Amino acid sequence: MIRIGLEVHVHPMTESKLFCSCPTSLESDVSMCPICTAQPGAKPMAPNSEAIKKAVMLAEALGCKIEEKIVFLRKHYFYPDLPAGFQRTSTPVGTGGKLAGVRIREVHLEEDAGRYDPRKGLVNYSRAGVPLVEIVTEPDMHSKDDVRVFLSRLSDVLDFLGFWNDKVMRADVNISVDHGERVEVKEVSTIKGIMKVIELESSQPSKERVTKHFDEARQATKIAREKETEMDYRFIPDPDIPKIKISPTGQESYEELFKKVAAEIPEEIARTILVSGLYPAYREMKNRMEPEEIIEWISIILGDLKYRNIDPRKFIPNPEFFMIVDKLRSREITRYQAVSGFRDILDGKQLKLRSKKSVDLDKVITDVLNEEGDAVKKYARGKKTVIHYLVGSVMKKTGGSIDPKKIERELKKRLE
Amino acid sequence: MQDLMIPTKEILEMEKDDLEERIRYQLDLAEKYRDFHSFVYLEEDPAVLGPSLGVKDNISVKGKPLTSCSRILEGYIGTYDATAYSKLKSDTTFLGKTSCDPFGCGSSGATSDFGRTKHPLDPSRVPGGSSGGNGVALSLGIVDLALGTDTFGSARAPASFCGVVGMRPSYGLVSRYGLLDLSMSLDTITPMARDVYGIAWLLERIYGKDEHDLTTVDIKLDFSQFPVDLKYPRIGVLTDCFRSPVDERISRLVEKTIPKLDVDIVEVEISTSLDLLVKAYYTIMPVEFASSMQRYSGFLYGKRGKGTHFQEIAIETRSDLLSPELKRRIILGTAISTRELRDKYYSRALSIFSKVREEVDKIFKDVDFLISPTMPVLPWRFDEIVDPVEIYMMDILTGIPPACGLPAISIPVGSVEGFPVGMQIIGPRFGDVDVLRLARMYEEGIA
Repeated sequence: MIRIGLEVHVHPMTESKLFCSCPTSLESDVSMCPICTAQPGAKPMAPNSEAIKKAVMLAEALGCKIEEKIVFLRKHYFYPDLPAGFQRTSTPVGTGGKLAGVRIREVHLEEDAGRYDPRKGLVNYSRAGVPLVEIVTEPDMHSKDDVRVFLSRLSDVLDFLGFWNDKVMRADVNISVDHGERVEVKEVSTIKGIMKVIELESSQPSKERVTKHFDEARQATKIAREKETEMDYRFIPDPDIPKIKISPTGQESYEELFKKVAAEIPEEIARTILVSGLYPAYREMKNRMEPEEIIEWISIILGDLKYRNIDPRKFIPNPEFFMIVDKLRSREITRYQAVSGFRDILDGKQLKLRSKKSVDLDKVITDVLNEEGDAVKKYARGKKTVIHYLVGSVMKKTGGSIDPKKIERELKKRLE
Repeated sequence: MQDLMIPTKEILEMEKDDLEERIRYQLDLAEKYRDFHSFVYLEEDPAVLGPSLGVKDNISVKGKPLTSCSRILEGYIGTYDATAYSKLKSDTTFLGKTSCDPFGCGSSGATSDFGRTKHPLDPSRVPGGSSGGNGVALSLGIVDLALGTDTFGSARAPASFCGVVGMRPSYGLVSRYGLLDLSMSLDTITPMARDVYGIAWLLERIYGKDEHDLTTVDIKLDFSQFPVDLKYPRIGVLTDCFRSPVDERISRLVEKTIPKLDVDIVEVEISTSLDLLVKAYYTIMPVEFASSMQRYSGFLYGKRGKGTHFQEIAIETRSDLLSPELKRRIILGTAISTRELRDKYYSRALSIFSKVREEVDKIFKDVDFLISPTMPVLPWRFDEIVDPVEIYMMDILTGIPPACGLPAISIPVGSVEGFPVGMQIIGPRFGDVDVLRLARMYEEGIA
């Protein structure tokens, strides 16, 4: 039997680094200061509270119990990407969670290292000190499929929380085969890489506990210079950082929430709602709308929010929105009118909904046919597609209050 | 020529012309006393903004050499101003970086990698350390004010040996930002001067909460009432601090000094022996020191050793450029923090510290101050004491304040065999201003 455990690292979305005010924008070449490059005498500033809050919320979403305080420890080792010669890493923020049937041992916070290019011998320290959250699982996965399911579910949770924006997962993969020793492969930076590592390491039991690195270019693992058994990180509490009190934020567990929502609407839509960040809006909507209506509206809302770059987490359906929904339900307005009304709300425009009863369709069609003599002639000569143009003209005049299919029917009656 | 040793108050009130003349003269003095190695870096043509200031070479000043007197940082230039220095730079004249034991590791003040610092009265003796350069430069009149550091006695020892004043503030009162770590939970940046007035002037400016040092405390001290008489302070005298191995002549001098003011004297005891406290320190400090010294690997800054693989570079750099004392502490600290040994030594040492803290807190319910000699011996000759453990034991009288986070000052109270003797006044946490007051009263009472 194969047992696989993961230590997954993700960047929480924060404006600044964990212990200094340098921006986290990773493209920048100049995001560094005396603190994040560990210049002699520099000390850490107060740990980024946004990063701590995000770590707590993630731990809660994974069903962990939240600790009362965290302490930052120094984990010592030499590597060119680690300017201080130690990495600051917190004690667990939360422990004892579960996701996709995999037990979560703990979630904690740490600082990222720089980016080392061994071929050039250069390090970019812009990434040094960027907050990193580590999710440690128990070795509860037994196949590539298990791992794939877990990672995809984890990715859903991170999307649900609006946790990240770089969507980069790095993982240390621990594998033991049958009764063999544990093989640890460090810093695998893609899901494809993780799958390859599992393939490579699950063929036979290892006789000794060993640490390996994954060579992305060669798609091969190789044994690290340092032996696992010789490594002692000499953890000590960082004397420069007093312990930090933390408390739950009230974030619900993702899987429980998913179960709840999936009982109300189809699973796939439930997932879309959670992952896209529309859950707060959904909570409002479900009291006033039928499941079919919600399903219909979700894709419209998501599309239009995305087009306008609005965070779905910030979208709260207002009374005007529900008025539109009600009018559409009672067929007072058309779908077209409802959608453009919704867009007006998003754009902050005055909402105008003309009732379709007030329009004299016959008169409008007569007007249009008189004005569009050329189009009428084209239609008579057999260019039937011109009908769409005429439908459009009628819709413009009626403010979209009439179903376009009905207009087309009426137009055809008059033209033939 | 003006008198070099006038009170600091008068220097601070000098006209600009007089001050410029004074500083030119002090720069000449620095040249004249070059062999005393009080400075590792001297400004050539400093802008005169106030009294002359020496800054210990383990404190960062932007654009100036920062080596901590260790070859591993040779050629390194500070990239930012330490907070304490930044608060002084607009009304002092930065004269240069003063010598010290590398990274503050030493009690003799004489072990800089860049030349031995010598006692101002006898060049064959040590000046006390690790802030030795400050003690010498103040004593010789080269500077009027100085910033030093004190972890377990580093400012008070040279103050005592050189006959000047050095004060370790309460832990958390002065930002450590820019101080090269020795033992982070104990390190302090310290004012040094030739009189208590100079110390108060410095401390008033450099103290305060700093977002760049999370261990600093938001507290307001009132220096405006300084100096004011204290009525019949109760002085605690720790009997252990006056017994062997403390030189009897030093004990007697301090014992005679205490009753020169109207004070109540109370004999007090603690159950932890002073040498056990020193041993606990030499267990905790190396762990913190080894951790902070990890950064000196030759990758990022300072000098770089030969090698192609990063591990080779780190080994070469550290083997070649760290002094034996630094290696001793790093190896010790590395060993003590390993899985096998940490409980046996490190945890025990921490519990010794917390026990002493408890007992001293209790003593301060009955007394206002603790007074003792600062150093157990007179300045020794360079070849007289070479055993590291014997030198470690020179810290027996200066350990209680750092272990308990308390303020402590050393003021000169006389001499034995022609060498100055310092008396240490310890106050309760954040009782820094009262310590200064009492020190000022003794200063006047003795004069």
